[in-house]
Amino acid sequence: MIFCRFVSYYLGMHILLIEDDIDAAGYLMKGLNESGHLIDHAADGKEGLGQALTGHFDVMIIDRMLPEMDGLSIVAALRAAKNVTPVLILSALGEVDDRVEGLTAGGDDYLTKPYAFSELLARIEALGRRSAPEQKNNKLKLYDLEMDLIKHRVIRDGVSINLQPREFRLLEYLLRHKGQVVSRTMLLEQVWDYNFDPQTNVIDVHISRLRNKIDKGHDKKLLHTIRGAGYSLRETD
Amino acid sequence: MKLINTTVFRMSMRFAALFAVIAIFALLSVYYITFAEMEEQIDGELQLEMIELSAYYRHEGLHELAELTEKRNQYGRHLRHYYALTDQQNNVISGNRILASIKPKNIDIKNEIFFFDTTQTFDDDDESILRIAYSSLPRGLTLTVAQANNSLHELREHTFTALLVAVFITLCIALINGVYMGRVVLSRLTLLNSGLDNAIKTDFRKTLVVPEQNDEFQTLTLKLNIMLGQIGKLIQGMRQVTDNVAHDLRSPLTRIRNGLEVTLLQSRSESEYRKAMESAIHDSNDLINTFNALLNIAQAEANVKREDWQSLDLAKLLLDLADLYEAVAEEKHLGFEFSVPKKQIIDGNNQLLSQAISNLLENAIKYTPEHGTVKLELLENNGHPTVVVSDNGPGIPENQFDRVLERFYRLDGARNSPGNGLGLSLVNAVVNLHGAKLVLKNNRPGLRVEINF
Repeated sequence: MIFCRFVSYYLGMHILLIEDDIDAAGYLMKGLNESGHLIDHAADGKEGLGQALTGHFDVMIIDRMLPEMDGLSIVAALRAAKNVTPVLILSALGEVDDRVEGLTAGGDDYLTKPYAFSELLARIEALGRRSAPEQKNNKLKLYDLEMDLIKHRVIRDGVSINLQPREFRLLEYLLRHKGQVVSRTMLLEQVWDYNFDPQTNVIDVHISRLRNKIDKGHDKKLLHTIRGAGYSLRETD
Repeated sequence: MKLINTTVFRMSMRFAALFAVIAIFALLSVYYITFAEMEEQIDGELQLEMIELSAYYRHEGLHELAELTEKRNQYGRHLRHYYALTDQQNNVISGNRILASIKPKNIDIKNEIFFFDTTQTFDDDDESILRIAYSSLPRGLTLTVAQANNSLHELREHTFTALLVAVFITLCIALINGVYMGRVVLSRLTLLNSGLDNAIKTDFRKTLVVPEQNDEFQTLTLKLNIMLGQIGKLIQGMRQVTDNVAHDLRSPLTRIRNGLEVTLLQSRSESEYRKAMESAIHDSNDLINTFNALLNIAQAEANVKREDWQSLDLAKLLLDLADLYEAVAEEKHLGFEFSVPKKQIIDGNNQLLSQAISNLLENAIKYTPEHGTVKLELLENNGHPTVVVSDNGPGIPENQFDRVLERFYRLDGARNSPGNGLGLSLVNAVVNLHGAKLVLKNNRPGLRVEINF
């Protein structure tokens, strides 16, 4: 798997997958496993809820349509039981309202079938990181790149970098998810607030502008393109 | 449909029953009060007579009373008033002998006078219905006075019959009215129903004949026609999509399937396998994009889910999009002109509108050659906002303006560039959803797309 290469260093997560489609679950487990994560699988809603309540997981992936008990009810039951494990809801219903419904039911992210595995992986890892204690720092830092959120200033190797407001938000998001792979769709959702996919390479253009500002003239490149998946801000290649 | 099953008929029957109950209650009350009053009046007259005669007796004595009684009995006959005076042994002293012989029954007492009702035939007269009063005088005498009230009884019977007839007529009129109204409504509903049957049979291509009378049926028919039109359009759209999907997805699916099959024909190097799989992933990504675009169009066309609408500022929406696309245009060495002079608040779905306008911007950027210019403007037309995306690229031939809005339709020259021919279909669907109008114009050179809200 091409994904192994860029996530193997990442601390593996314990993931619960509740999905009734055995084939889909099979390849998801294989892919997540090879990306360094430990997966438990439940094939119906009741069993899934039982496992979710008794086990300790970093992230849960829950299909919306399940036998015995539907995904949104599971999320609602978990939240009622004060379980705050991040949940990614998978759904075959793609309309805007369903997405809103899924998020208001207590889901943390929502992915519509058909989706790319790389997209799912990136989102799962972003969610897993979120469950780790959030740094309350006003400064974000990677190698010699520093961002001061109060003064709205970015410095690389002692030199101040002038960023447009949107570039600042883009870099902030990347810094908050440093070391992870973030997909173009995630950037569009989180930085620009759009939940549709443009047909052209809009995000690539903005990334390449940002890269020009932070990496140009430095031997150590920080902003990496991950083929077929997205981008990653990190020290290692 | 049976008349008896119509709402109007049932309702008028219910009203008829209600009216009948009210009428019966009212008439019966009048009936009883009136007749009780009249009976009271007769008793009063009898009592007065009794008092007068007993006073006469006290002043004038027995003999005079006997004479007066006899006289009154004679003169009172034509008024059917009867008098009798009897002694202790029930011997008739004067007056009417027959009256004196009547045995009292069911007596009621008022002011020491005894009253009772009976019937009796006097000589040649018809049977009289009598109200009789008697009272005791000193020395064991009994004075009896009677009055026939046949006419009152006749009146009572007639009134009762009249009452029954009135209620009956009320019910009849209500019934006729119910049948009539039911018929009228039923006939118009039958017309509507047959029209609807016809519409269903023809897959909603036919609509209903609108009645000329300006009433609630006309309003209903007009609304139904709008609904039928929408259903028809949706059905047609669905067919078109199914056809197009079948047609346009066939080739990429074939490509993926056969590419993989051919790869498996003989054993190959790892890099060759990798290449085949990567190309399959690439092709399926295109398929996924096409599917998502179709779903988006379907959602915009479904025109129902309005919960996530909000009032939004078009200027802000365009500003955000410009922020996203200006860099893309510059990257392609295109000029990007942007003008949003002031706030324009409308009700809408932010995501769908952004996606629609981003489709227009992407088209403009994609098809305009280097050093061209793409413009994004927000104008105001008679108080209504208009969003304009224009370029000076190759444009679209004017006779193709309608066709490019169809799903999967692509201009001949564009077939080899990436894209699925769904972009403008989505724009059109979103614009329609917002009650706006999409207008394509020749920008001489280039394309000018206006969204008129």
